[in-house]
Amino acid sequence: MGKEVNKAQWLGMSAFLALGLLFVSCRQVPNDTLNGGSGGEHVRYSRLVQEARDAFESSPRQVADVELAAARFGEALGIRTDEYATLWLAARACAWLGEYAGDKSVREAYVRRGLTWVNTALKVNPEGVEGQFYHGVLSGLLGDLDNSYGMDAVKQIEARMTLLIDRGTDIAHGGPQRVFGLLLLRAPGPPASIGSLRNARKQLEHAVEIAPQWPENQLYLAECEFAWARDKDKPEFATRARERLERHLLGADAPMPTGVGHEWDAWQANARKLLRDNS
Amino acid sequence: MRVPAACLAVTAALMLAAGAPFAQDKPAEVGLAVYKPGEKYATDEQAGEAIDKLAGHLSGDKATFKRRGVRNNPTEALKLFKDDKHPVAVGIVSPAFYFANKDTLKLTALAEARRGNADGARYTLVGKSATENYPEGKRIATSLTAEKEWLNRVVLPAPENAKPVQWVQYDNLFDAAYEIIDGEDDAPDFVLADSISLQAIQKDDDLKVLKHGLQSELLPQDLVVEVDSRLGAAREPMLKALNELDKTDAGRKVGELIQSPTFQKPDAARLEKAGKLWARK
Repeated sequence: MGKEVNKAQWLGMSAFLALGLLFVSCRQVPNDTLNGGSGGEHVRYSRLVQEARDAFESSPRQVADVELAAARFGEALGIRTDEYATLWLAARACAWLGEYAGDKSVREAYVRRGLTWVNTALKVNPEGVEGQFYHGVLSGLLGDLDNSYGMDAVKQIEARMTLLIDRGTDIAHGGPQRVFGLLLLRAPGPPASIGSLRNARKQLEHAVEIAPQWPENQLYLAECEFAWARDKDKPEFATRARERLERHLLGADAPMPTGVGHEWDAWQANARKLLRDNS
Repeated sequence: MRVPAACLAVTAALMLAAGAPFAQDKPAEVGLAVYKPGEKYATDEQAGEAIDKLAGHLSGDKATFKRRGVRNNPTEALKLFKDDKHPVAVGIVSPAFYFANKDTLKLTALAEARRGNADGARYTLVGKSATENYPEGKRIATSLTAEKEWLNRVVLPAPENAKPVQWVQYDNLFDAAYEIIDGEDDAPDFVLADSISLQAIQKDDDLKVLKHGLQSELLPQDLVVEVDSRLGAAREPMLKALNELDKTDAGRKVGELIQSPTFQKPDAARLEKAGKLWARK
């Protein structure tokens, strides 16, 4: 495990798989929201939110911590549903669990709950950056877990991330560029979907420019470079990808961001798999 | 008329061996195969679930449709169709596959897809400059090099004595088009774009500067083909279900899943015209 860099303020999950496959449906990503109000129990609500935030910020973060966070957020949102910050933080916890928790059905349940919460967040604050971002992330995760949502998920991600990119908003360490870039990298091109290696590379390079210290950015740019090397018959890109993985994820001095634990292990495992697949 | 049980059993065994459904209490199994060239995700791993849903939608009292496989490679697809142990009764295949194997596999075209809800398929050459003439010797990007004969005979037939074009495989036509506008060294001269890709190119901020030129004839889309009359009593219900795919919520979902909202009766004139082009050497 390498030395630490600055504490990760934002979570940057985006490892959903190939969306917009050949045969994908356009079932709409759910747009349901909570119906709760802004009623009493202020003290209990505040305590629950704080407990949830503390659990999520556990360092190094593990699945049980985030499950506790999601549970506490759920209780808090049973009291009031009009606080944008609580809603998007709750959605973020679900997005994390949608990527890293247990089996598929468990992850899908968290993703669906997260979508309800983020939809509510966007109802409270339609322009909210975090809401836009995590709606895209959760849509992508749902599309990955249930392909019948794939086509709509692609539309949602494209719309949300391009909006944030065009606004010049940074969140989750180059999150919009990373999420959109990964979609472009893994989705097929037209007529089936919107994938493009060239556009993926542009976005992922931009993500690395914004946050070079964030390992996920390096991981996905390396994946793109391997693909570029194969597709364009340019082995120098594969060499670059290997060096990138060594420097940012696998080497003894690879800088692990503070607070990440479970994620770091997953990223390293993905980096090793990339190396194996491209050896 | 009463039929001796032993006789029924023998008949049943024979018909099952041929993959053909027949009237009995338990619906017979109908093998369904899909061949989609040029789409790397047309595999069992990536598209199997969607085809299972289509099979489920087509199943009824007379037959249970079962996926035999999804392939994007013509050799592998042919193996599926020739597998006697797991017989295929119906397939969704490219028109090139249909014409190439029509006689040997005893294929009958029953229906035609409407991808993008379009009637037929048309291809357009897209490049830095428009060409209305056959682009002799030029490099053309396509995702369909697995079906070069189809490209050369039907999609873009070369005039007599013309130097043939060079087909270059690109899984992603966007990237081929970007290579042209980015001026990359080994960029193709043109992209052969189907109508959906053409629309996407026209909408793309970077790519819309490209010019559109020579177009193919209006050609058949993917065809639903019956193998060696194996569908039997399942044929008509299947065709009705395919034709009415867009009439129910469940059908619409399947149509979205396989990117063809419905299937229509093949356009006989279009099929015949393509067949004549295919038959030319």
